Amino acid sequence: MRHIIPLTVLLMACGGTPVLPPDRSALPEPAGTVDWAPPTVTTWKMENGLEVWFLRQKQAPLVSLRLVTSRGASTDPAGKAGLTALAVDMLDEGAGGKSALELADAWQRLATDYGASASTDGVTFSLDMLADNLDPSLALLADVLMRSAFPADEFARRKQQRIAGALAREANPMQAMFVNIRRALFAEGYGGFPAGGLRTTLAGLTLDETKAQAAAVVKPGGAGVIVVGDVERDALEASLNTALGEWKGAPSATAGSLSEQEPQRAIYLVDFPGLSQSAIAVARRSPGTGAADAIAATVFNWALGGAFTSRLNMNLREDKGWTYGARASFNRWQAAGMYLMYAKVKADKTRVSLDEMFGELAAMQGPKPTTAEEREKAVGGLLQGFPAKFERMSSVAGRIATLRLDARPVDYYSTWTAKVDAVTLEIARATAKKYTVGDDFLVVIAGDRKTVEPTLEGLGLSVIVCDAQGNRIPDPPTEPPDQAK
Amino acid sequence: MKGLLVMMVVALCGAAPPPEIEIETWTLDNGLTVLLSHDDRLPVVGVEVRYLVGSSHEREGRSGFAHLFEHMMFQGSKHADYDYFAPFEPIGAAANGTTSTDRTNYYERVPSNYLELALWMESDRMEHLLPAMTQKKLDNQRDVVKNERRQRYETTPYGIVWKIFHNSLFPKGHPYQRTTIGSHEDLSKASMDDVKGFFREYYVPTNAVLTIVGDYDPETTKLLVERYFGHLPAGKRAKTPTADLPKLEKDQQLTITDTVKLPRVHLAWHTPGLYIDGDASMDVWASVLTDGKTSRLYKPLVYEQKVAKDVSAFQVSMAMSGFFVVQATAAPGKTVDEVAAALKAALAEAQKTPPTSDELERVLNGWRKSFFGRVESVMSRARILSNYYHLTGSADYLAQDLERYTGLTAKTVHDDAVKYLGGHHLQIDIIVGGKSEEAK
Repeated sequence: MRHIIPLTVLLMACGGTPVLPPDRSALPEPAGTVDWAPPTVTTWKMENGLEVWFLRQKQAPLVSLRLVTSRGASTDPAGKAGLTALAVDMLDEGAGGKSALELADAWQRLATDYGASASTDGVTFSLDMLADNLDPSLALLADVLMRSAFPADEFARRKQQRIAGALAREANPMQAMFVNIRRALFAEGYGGFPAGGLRTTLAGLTLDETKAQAAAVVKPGGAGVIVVGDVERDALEASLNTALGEWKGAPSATAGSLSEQEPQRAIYLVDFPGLSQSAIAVARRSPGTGAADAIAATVFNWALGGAFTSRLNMNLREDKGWTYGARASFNRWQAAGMYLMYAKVKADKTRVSLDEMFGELAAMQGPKPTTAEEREKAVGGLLQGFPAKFERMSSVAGRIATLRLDARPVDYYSTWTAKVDAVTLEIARATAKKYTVGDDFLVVIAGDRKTVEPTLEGLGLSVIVCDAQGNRIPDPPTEPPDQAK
Repeated sequence: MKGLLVMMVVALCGAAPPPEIEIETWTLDNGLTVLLSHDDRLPVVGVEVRYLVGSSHEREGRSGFAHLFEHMMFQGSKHADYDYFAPFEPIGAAANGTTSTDRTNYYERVPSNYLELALWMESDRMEHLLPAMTQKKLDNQRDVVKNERRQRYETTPYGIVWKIFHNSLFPKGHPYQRTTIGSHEDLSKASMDDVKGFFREYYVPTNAVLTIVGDYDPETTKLLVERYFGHLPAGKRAKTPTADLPKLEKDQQLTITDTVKLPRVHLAWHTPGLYIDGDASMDVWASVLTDGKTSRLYKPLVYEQKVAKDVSAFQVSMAMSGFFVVQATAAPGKTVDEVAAALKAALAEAQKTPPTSDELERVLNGWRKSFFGRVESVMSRARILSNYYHLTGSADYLAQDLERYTGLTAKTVHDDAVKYLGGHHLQIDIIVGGKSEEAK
């Protein structure tokens, strides 16, 4: 109704009458409601056990494919973090009679972007290609999966590249912070190491180990192929059967178990001398992707640190100006996860920023619980922002691939809307209490030790100095007084 | 094997015509340019407002101001005096803004039934920003921007090189000599008067482009645009800064000590601006140099000699002129001098011959495919269309843009590579050794 009068004015305006200023007394109402449901994913199972999840999209003559295995970096043996990642690196270093260089040229000639990466619970192979090049691209993928050569000279190079990458990450305070959080929370167990490994854990890996790891992880049993794009179902089925029909077997690697050791509550401090900002985090363990309250947790966290207008960002950025952005999130894998608040803050505001983070947690626990308005905003934002997640084929493929990595069902999104809507204020508050109350939050800081360390008293936590790989640095021995000069 | 490859190529060339999209260009009486492109696949609409002002318009002593001002546009306007994101986040919209040397853009991707909200909010800040402006807001965002600088440039490994590129490639007084982020000193000087003056001069309909892409009703949308923007006074189109393509008179080398673990060498040369003759050649040449394991620099440096952890070549394209960068990070144990010498030798070798037909074909296949991605989402389509309009004068430039690449011959690419990379260069070495003054 609101539209009718102003539109009349406008029609006159087109005839040369000066245009009147618009009504600014209130924000405009939406033009009706949007009725949209996510497209249904078609599924079938190949004879070798590969599950195919297919979504036809035709906005461009492209196809995005993701192949997700059922085992990932969490199967890296103790002390060998990065083994799965390095094994996966080796798969396209020569395969099916082609050398590493020939294979690279073949992908490029097809304009097919090939990628393969290991994450905690799976390995994801990705192909983003022109629809017309589906078959030749699948043929190359089949070579990579079944006929990889593992040449020794390529191994030496890829291993050095992985080590160099790990070393380069040690110079990045945010990365050092994340590595330290994982090691502090999960020790030597599941989730304790980044999938890419650390310089020290990569150093001892051998070619034979990577070969064995690839054979134990990269298998069709329990794996899924996600295809999104401009291809007919029947044609796709035939293409997949031709290329991957002979790929057989089940993975034999098993994931490491969660450390039973309680994380030591402390301040883990990584020294970055002279840096003008510190990367800081307050973190604790959380349940993994299977948590029944995962959606409720997303809803309460929206208000605490999940959005720009969340309490944490409005406080540390828009009120105090101590950071370019502060957030809180649940980072989950299948068997465990972590809940953390984090930011990069001006070095001399490190301590006060931590106080504010703990303050926001404390407020959420009781004095200032989730409000009805915050719950409305979170639910509205999640639901109304949903259709836009389906814009790009490659991101839709990635989103569906994540369902597999998270061990979620293919129809997850068809029930997701109702589940978000079902998070009442009462549920949001109870969930907030569950995850914000507790004395097991630990602190990680990557920043200038000289500036930061003297300010950390009074938090009730001891300081443990670590390196960027998360190894504790022993205190330098103090000289006995009788040796004084 | 060869036979198979030939078949693939045939299939490719037949399969990748430029993506077809509808575009309507329209100008309001007050000079506001409106670009419309319809796509109703999803109930989503993207709105971009681009102001034709960037860091190249800043006055002396105010580096970083155009970007700081962009932040101020999110701090509330007269009839919406609260954080700009506040009405958008609860409807799942994605909103943000970016500042470059040449323009500032603001955008929101909203559910299609909220198009009017986006136009209401954008027009309120275009008309009524100043009544809601306060010193407190300015001081707060000044601190936020300084932290953005610390985060992106000072504490991200190698981040400071962007400051050095601009400061050293462009002569004093050149509009690109400043970085868009600016200096702490200049940011400290920005005043309320600066905010008011900048707003009145640049944030006017004649100096703006409104782009709407997605699921909208064309008739209603035109009426809404008139309703929210039609009454605004026109203002003036900002003068586009001009400067000759700068020339390096001699080779220059700078060494900066920083908190990195591996040294990195950067070589840089001046190249033509975006969409100007020679620009596409240099993009293609960058791919010939470093895309893929058999590329002319990756293969010798990373694959064979293993002196570098990585190598990449890319062009930084701006309106007036660009620059071309070749950078290589040392492999562990290698010195900056070793990697620099190897890089220069490999580059000299690469410069000798035009791309082979195989190299050119591989690179162009990738460019052809990439054009589909440019128009796939509403926001990336809005951004590319307004970019085309801004820099070429026509939003309907996608096919011509693709043609700039696919029409290239090996000889043209090589001639341009020799022309632009044959002269003097700037070398920036970032080396291990802790944070130095120059790295701040």
